[in-house]
Amino acid sequence: MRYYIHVIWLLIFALVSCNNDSKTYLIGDDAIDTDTRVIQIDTLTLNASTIILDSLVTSSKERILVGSYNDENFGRITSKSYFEFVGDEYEIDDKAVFDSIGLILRYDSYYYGDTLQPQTLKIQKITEDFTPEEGSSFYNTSKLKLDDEVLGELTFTPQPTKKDSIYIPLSKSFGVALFNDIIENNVNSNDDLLKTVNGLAILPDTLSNNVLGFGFKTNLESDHNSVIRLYYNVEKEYNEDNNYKDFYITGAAKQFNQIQSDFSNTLLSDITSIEDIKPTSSTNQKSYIQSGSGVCMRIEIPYLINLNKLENNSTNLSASLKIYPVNNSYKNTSSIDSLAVYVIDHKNRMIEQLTNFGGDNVYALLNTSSYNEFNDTSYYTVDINAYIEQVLSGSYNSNYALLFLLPDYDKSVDKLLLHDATSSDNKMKLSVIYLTY
Amino acid sequence: MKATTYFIVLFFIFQFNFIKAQNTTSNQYSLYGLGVENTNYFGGFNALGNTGTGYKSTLNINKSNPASLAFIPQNAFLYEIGLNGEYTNQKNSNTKQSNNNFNFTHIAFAFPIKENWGVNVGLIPYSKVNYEIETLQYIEGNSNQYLTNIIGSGGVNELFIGTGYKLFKNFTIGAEVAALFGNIEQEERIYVGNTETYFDRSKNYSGFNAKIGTQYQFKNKTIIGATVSFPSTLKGDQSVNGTKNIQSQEISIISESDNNINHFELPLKLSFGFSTYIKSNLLLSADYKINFWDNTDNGSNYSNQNIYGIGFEYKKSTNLANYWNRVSYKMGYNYNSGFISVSDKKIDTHNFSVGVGLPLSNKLEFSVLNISYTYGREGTLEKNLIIDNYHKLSLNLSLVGNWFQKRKIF
Repeated sequence: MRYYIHVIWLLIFALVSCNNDSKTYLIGDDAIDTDTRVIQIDTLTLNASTIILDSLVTSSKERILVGSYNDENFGRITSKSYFEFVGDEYEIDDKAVFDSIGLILRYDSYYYGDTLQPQTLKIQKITEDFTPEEGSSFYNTSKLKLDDEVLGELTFTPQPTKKDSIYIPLSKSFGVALFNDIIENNVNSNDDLLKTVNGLAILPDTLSNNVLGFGFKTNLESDHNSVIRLYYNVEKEYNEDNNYKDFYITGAAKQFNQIQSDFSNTLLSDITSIEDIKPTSSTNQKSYIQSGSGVCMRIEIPYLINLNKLENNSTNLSASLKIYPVNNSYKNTSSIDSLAVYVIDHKNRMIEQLTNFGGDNVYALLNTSSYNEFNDTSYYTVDINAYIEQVLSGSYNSNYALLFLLPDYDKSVDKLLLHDATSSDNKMKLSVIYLTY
Repeated sequence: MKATTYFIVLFFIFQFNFIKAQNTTSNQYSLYGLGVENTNYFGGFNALGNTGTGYKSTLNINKSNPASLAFIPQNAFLYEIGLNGEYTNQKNSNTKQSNNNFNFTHIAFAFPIKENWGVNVGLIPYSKVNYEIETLQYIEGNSNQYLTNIIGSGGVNELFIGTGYKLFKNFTIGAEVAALFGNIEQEERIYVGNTETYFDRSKNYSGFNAKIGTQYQFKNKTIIGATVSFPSTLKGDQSVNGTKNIQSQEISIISESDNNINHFELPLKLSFGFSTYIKSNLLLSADYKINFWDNTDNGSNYSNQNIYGIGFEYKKSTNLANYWNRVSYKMGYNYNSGFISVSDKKIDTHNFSVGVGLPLSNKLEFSVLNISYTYGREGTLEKNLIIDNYHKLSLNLSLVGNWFQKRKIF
């Protein structure tokens, strides 16, 4: 055997374990043989418009929203609130004597409008079953029949951030009737109570200029609650005990806000149905958003599908939509710091909420870093890349559009205006970066 | 000997995988076409300026000219493996970078069929692709830049069988057919903002090539030779996979396989060479090769290639009894005009080599370890291109066994 040959083989194997250490090298551009190009375009047409959603679910929103204000662009908006109430137990000492009854409303810190101006709230009894006309939800357009009699009324200057609550005294006759029903055991249960009272409505002064939000809990575990409080005295031998019994809102589904808007003297007055699309060309190059009334901005990108035709092989890498709110068209930047975005069809029917590739909901976020009182150029940016991907791949119809509204669109009344793509300044703009290969 | 045979077969299989998986050169110019052509020659021919067309080779395999196979002695079995270590120093007008690697390059066998008739088979790389390129480019219509990283790997292998036959006294002819096959892979990563786009383009090429050669010997002193390699076509197909990664989601962009791509054409290649003893112990070998890339339609950046080589081989004495007398010393120079133009500059190569052939034992078995060192320079600094200075150490084992004789004895 040629022994040395084997030694050589082994040596070779050992040597080959040395690795191949190749490193990156930068060379001149034109030495690269690749078809890949990355291109940004920001000339896609954006058709902005305003639409009005015809019904927003307002039950189960856990906010009593009452008030009214008038706006030159949106007209007058008024919110009334309806609720049903029950108690925990229906026992009152036989020796007790009725004292008074009232409605305590706890501010939840939401307000809109001029709180230096007074607000008047009136309480009226609901005279029909607390059930929606159909389905299980109440809408901003829902209402319930009311008794003409005003059970209570309070005119006050709202202090939603300073004060904790307001107290609206209710009529003695309403209180006595309730007190006696309990004493006389006519009302021993929630069912008994609901047979005598269907619920109450809180009606604002329809000429006032503020809207207030009140919170509530659907039990009595916290004393920080909006309740109906029935006061009574129990006479003892030497002193007198002040007692009360609280009634609370039955459940989140048993409370809703009726929010009415009167657009009659505004540019929006000719919108009569959800399918009406009011282009910004007829609204001074501005799109409108108002919570509570269902006024939304709609943006259609009509030639988006043409991105597919620009190159044989291309794919979109990012798409950023930049939208500028109109200065002073809103309360403050923190009240409009984000917009929820939905995909809608050509008849403005909701398809789904906008998501990114990861499936997370995407919001238009207000960039306030450059914002100060002298330089009011804050703007929204929203990543609509996943939307474009779906349109280009055919998963979404090419006539789909995007709908923008405030996240609390169903339990507040904030509003803003936005510049469209033809506005003289602060135009909305879509930047799409795509790659061809 | 059975064990050795087994070992060699195993090694052959191993080598197959190796050629696929590994690369011997890191060379940015391998971005083009099939990559850079293999310039690792058999035996000691590296150190002879890559000549060999007119070199009569008896105890090592001369891949340059199949006609030389007729000289394999009866009862000899030659096998040859090559190893290559390379240190490259690349620079362009701005940057510098060094690479090194070490690899197998080839394996081949040759044996006589009968007197004056020899055959060889082997596997060598035909071309190699190995590069990594990074570039920063501007997004069109935007002032931001994006990074592209391109990695190329693979190459085309050549499995050949050649034969040489002595037709008349001093006149030999030879022919070789080769199957060319290989895979060239390009991975491209494009980083735009927070997105990463990835393309994997895998090209397969396959085809055949034929070559004929002849050598003629004058007065036992001078040999002239010529070869013709016929034009041929490598069929290509490509698979492309592309994905983009956005918000941690991988989205497929393209997934295509077996798409026909342009054929790659190999040109008509002519080679002329001679070797002559200037003194009894000093041999001069010279080659001129021309490859007619102009006539191919691989693209406008291909043009005719001229290669000039010259080499000297020296032995102390023709008396082979002493070990040191059997050691050969070689020296060579090669100029390759190249055939690809990048930015209108043709990428040419100069190299200078020295080598030594060390007999592996004192017995007269003629197995030789050839060690050669090559210094080469490829490319140019003009037009923002790259100059590649490389130092290459090649080891070739030309092993001679007399199996057939042994088998007879057994």
